[in-house]
Amino acid sequence: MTEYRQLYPDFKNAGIELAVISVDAASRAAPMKEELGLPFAVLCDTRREVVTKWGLLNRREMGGIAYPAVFAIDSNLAVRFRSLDGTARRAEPAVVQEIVKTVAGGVVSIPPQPELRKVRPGAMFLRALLNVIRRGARTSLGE
Amino acid sequence: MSTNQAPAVGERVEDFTLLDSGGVPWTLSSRVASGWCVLVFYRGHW
Repeated sequence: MTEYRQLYPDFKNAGIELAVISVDAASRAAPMKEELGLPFAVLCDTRREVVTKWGLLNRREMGGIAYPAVFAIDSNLAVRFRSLDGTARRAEPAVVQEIVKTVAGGVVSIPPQPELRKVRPGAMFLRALLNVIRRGARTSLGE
Repeated sequence: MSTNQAPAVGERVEDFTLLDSGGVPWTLSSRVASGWCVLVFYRGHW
């Protein structure tokens, strides 16, 4: 969460809105936002409506909490990037940031991307993914 | 884990409105009107 806080200015400069969601009530989310000094919205899905609809409800823990996951949504409400992280590992914010910035930097359409959960989001993987995106960018520009 | 129902890349999601930690309504469609939105689902306090 603090990593996202550090990256927030970059998100903002790229014209990307950032929000975090959990099933926590405001009584828990508000102190966390304040303690960590989070500059972005902390959303409270206390009725588990969104996490259920998005298939991210982990019923086995604490009466149902969200699986960690990251999505990038475009202005047509279409998913442009996603990372399903399981319970133990989450996508590194810097990886997400790099991808989103690259994609948002003038790319009209992007090719299907590999699922992050099947690979370790290390530097090599990031380079490979960015290459895929850049190839897609060139293709969409007719080069 | 069972996240097979999660929206895939290219799929459109349904709009939603949730309250933020300050009790202010937050609507996805109005937040993406001028650009993308990155949504981070986290486990929460437990």
